[in-house]
Amino acid sequence: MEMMEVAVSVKHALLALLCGGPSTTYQLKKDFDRTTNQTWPVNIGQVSTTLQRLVRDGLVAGSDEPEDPGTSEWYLTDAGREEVARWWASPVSRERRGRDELVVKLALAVHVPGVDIAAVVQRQRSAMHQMLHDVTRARRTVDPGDLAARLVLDNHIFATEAELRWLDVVEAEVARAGRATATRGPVPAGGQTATDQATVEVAR
Amino acid sequence: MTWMARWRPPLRLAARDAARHWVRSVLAVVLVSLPVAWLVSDTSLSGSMPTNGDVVLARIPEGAQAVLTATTADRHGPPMTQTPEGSTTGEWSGDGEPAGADELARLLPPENQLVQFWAYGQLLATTGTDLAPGEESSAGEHLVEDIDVAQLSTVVLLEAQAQGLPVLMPAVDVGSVPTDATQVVITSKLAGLLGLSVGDQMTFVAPHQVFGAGEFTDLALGEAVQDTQRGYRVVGVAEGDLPQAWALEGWLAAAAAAHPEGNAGNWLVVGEQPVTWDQTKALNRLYTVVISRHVLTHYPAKSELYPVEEKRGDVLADAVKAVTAAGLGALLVLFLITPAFTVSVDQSRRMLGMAAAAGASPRDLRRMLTAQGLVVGLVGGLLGSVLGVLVAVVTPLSSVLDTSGTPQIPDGAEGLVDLSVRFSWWTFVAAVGVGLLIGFVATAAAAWTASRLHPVDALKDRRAPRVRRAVLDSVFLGPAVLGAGVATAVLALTVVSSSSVSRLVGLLVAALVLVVTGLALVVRSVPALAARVVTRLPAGPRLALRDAADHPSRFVPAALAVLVTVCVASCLTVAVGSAVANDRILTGDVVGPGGLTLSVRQPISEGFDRLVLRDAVDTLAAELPVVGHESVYAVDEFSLFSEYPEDGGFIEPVRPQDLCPEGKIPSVGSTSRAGLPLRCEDGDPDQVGGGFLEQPWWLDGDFLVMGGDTMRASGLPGADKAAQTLDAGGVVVNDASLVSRRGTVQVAASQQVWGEAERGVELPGAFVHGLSPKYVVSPETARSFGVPLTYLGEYVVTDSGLSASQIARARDIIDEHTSLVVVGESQYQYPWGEHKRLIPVAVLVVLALVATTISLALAKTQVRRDMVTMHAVGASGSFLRRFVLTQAVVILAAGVPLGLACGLGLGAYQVTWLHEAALQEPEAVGWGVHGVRYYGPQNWLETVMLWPVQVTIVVSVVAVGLATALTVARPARRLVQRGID
Amino acid sequence: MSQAPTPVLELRGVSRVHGRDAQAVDALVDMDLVLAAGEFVAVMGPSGSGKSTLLHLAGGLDAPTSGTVLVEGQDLGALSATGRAVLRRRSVGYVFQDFNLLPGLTAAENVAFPLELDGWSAHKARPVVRTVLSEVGVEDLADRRPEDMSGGQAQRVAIARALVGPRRLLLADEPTGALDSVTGTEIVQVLRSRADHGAAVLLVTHEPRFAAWADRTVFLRDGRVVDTTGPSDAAELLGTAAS
Repeated sequence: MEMMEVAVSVKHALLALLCGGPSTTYQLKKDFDRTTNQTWPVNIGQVSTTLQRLVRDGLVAGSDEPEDPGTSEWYLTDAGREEVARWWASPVSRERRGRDELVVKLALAVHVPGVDIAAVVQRQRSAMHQMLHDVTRARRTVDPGDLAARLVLDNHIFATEAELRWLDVVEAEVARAGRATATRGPVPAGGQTATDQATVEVAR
Repeated sequence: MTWMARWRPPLRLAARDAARHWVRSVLAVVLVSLPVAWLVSDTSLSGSMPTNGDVVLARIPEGAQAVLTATTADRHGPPMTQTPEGSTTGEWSGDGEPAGADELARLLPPENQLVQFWAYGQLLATTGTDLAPGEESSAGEHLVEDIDVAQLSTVVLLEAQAQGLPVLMPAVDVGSVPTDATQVVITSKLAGLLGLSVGDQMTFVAPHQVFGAGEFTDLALGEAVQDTQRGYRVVGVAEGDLPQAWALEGWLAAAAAAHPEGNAGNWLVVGEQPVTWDQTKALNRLYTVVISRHVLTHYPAKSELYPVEEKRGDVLADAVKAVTAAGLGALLVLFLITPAFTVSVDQSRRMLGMAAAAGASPRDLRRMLTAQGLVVGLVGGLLGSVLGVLVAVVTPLSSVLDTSGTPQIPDGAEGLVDLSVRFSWWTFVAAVGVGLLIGFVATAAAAWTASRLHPVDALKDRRAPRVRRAVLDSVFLGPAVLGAGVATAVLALTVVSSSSVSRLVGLLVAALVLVVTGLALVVRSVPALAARVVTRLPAGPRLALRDAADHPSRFVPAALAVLVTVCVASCLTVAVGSAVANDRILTGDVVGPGGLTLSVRQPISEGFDRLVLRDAVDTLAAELPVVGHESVYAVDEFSLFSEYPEDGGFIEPVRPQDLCPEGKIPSVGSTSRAGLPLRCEDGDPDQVGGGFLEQPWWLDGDFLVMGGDTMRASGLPGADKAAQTLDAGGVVVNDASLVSRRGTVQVAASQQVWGEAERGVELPGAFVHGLSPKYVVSPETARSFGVPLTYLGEYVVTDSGLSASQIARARDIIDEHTSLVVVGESQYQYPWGEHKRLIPVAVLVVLALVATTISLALAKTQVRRDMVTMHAVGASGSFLRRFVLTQAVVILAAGVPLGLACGLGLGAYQVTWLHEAALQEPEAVGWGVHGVRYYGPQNWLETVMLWPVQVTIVVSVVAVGLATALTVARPARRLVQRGID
Repeated sequence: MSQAPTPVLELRGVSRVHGRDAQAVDALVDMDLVLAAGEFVAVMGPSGSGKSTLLHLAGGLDAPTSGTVLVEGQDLGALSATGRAVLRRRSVGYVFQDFNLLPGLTAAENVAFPLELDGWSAHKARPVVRTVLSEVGVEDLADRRPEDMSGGQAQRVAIARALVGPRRLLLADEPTGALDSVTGTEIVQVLRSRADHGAAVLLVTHEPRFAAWADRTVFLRDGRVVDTTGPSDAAELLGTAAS
């Protein structure tokens, strides 16, 4: 899920980065990391694979010297330039973002009997707040001139806030439906679930 | 922390807040300024209003230190006492000898001079003789019947010794001052009336003395000089509105010296040295009245004056008036102003909560509101001072002077006194102080609420939950307290005669407090009651009723303000009506409203007098709808007294014997109207018609003679029936107990006034209410009993009576034409006397309207938010109009009927109280220096409600109140932002 | 922790019950809270959870039904109404969602208000007022009236007043509620900077992103603390949160 999400962004990100001029694989990876401020870390292999795909699609061309991947330079084709322009012009739609694990999880929690939904919600909320604290702190230390970084951090903040609001609604709906039953199965006490870990990773 | 530092933040806040809510501030300032303005104008005017002292002071001629009147009182009689203004009690004319020049000079500072003067006002001046200046003859010689009226005038002559004449005489405009006793200076008025100028000759005639006729009757001097006349040459003319003349001592002085009996001496003290109070008291021992400039300007301390006994009746009357006036006035102001501030607390809740959160302690919050009151009070006090000054300056400055106790310097019966209004700095300081006090008290309740504010609720703009005290909500508490108050008042009335003044005042105050509290409680319960009773009202009115019931702090003062103003207006009306009715009973009229009488100021002979009056009627008929005249006569008592004619006679009505037990007579009040139940009280059974009746000076005697036509012309109430009785040979009386059930009056006839009744006759009788003379018969009836008659004057005949302006015009016409004729009119044109007596009532009605308007405006600001919501939710304009209209109706319904009832009750109570108080002092009749009688205390015999005026009050308050409500009810055109306040 | 300087605000077992008998409502139940100088604590929770009550109790605007409230070591229960008012002049500052400033007074006069109530002369207060106004960035609005200011500017002035003088405890009740997002963020930034300069700030808010500026966030529900969160590295310190 995650990978697909990242892949889409990487493809167009590389195209966009190449607008500024030809670049090597390694250079592209570094640029990408810097722009997204390490929030979506991507490894060199992903970059390479994506570039290959782009070449296959005819959007990018470059010297093929597979022996020395670090030095081969890539550049945009005309088709590639068109694609970038089109990408800039069209808004990002919801479907592209893919299935949200949190949504799926809560939908399942409501559907499956015997789950302590309130506890799930609260733990998610707590973690999200913690993340908010961290992101806010990070944002305070960001260079005022680094607009891109602030932009990205703000998105995290607002998106998280939106999800928190949604969690409030979920809680209320659940309470109304009278489904806040006691847990049948033990929820790992104090420990972090898979979801928690993922979100923390995202934050990092 | 200094006192100033504590107050600075609240004061600053108050000033800014007052500026922001400027409408409320302006209203409050105006309300505070009203009583302050009244205070300032009242003290400035009455401070400079001619008290008796100022009037009297104005009459001391410039250059003179004092005026002395050496009376002829018996030196072995009771000692003479006087006030510095020259008022004495008791009669001071007798057979004694007046103090002479030496006696007086011994007691006065030697550097001063004593100047004697003589004055006589009963003279006639004429140009119709050929007497040479200085020549004397007996009156009537060369004075013929066919003399033209235009050649005659009355005149007041003043003679003085040479040193005194310049002091007494005004400056001569044309000509010179007299140098000998043949010369005279006259006023421009006299010159105009007779067509005289410098160098002309004229004659002064002293007619035969008519007993009691005229005002400045110096009886003894008149008797000394009567029936003589003397010629003069005019040497100078001085400015003057009345016919007057000045001459050197001669004619009058000689006559006085020749007939010294009963002639009081008139002296001026001229010089540099003042005449002190001690000297005055010494002169009193010589039975001489002294009016000294120095004494009047340096008023002696109370301890130095002669002791004056306080009349209990007066004190009680004053006590009632003071308590009611002060109490009602204060309550009124508070009821009008307090709601303005209570509402402001309500609206400022949030601001106060903010201030509390920022660190304001409860005391600071209280100060914030008191500061508002002080700011408003200060500005109101200043504004009121300015207003008061304006009122005092603009008020017309003329007054008719009280003639009792004045010295014998005749300068006319009426004088225009120049009132210089005096302002003192203390008045303004007090005015501002009063303003501050009012502001402080008005905000006291609001300040207390503010200090008790719960900050948390205030911040949320939520009122603290009201503790519904079940006791206060009880419907019965109000009427119970009210009843207790009324009972206390009645109690005070019943123990009037036996309790001390202070205890009575205490009872009165307690009664007032109870009544007011009771009224407040009753008023408070009205909307709740109404809401309970009328359940099928549409939404708007129902909401309005509930709003009024939920906000007693706003509704009650408003309704009470309306109540109090209507009550005071109504009570004043009752007081005015009763006072006028009482006056009418005691004094009576000879002529009804719209009627006019003419008589001769100085009677000469019947033929001549008739001539003069016919001439006057003709002059009036030229301009006014006068169609004729009817004669009226009086008894020639002079001839009855001085001679014992064989064919003379006298009649007098006799009271039926069986009406009252031994030693008692029917009271004046119960005999003043037909059909009243009889009340007997102590009195002299021989005195017919009650003991307190006074007569106007114009009419002498209790016995008037006129025919039926004359009675009809008088326009008195019941004149037609009275006329028929007169034509049938009967008697018309003003005492209902004299008329028997058969409609007859028992009359005793005799040969002389003081003789035994020789026979009794029963004659047809009629009663006329408010008739001035005690009894009237026709000339034929009088002659049939042998009563000698003298011609008195004429009643003017009109088709339908004269209006007030026509009567005024008649006076002017006569005044311009001749000074010989006196015009008489009814004293009581309206049941309330004159229109200006109703001015206070009008002012109060205006106040009631102001109260209603203010309370409605305040209510509107309070419900404005709710109204906007209603409007936004879709309530139509008519809904809102009905809402506000209902609020107005509730306020008016709670205030007006109760106010009217209270006013009528209070008025009746006050009249009864004053009546009881007057009964405490039945013998308070005083005598001036020359026999001018004081009027006794008001007896308050009748309670008159003046229903037309009452109804007008109610209707105007209700109508204007509702009209205001409709104006106020217009919904705001733009939605009011839910702002801070 | 016992060696630490006196906390600026301390609540011990504080409860507040509104109404009586059948209508009794528990606004706060057995609440413990400690706030030290320089600490910025956010309070969140659904409406009716007791957030505002907590704030009112902390500054003496309201009195607890049981428990003790201590401000700089002073027990508020031992003070009279006037004493608590004095507290609000000298130790505690309030900022509300709206209607903070007294209408009719300029910004400078508003800020000087608590000082003047305490007896300061206008002359003495002026430099202090100027300083604190510039600290919140609105020194050029000193002579402006509240009705002539934007919401954000008014809130800044309110914060200035809440901190003028020797006061160190700032109690803010949804100060951003009437402001747009950008201005709201600015306001919270001001609060943060005040906390960094040594003030103790207690912020009630329902916006998580604003709460995130605090050092920790306390969650209330039905008058009780149900959770406390903060940045990751503060996790172990949050064991002090009451259950």
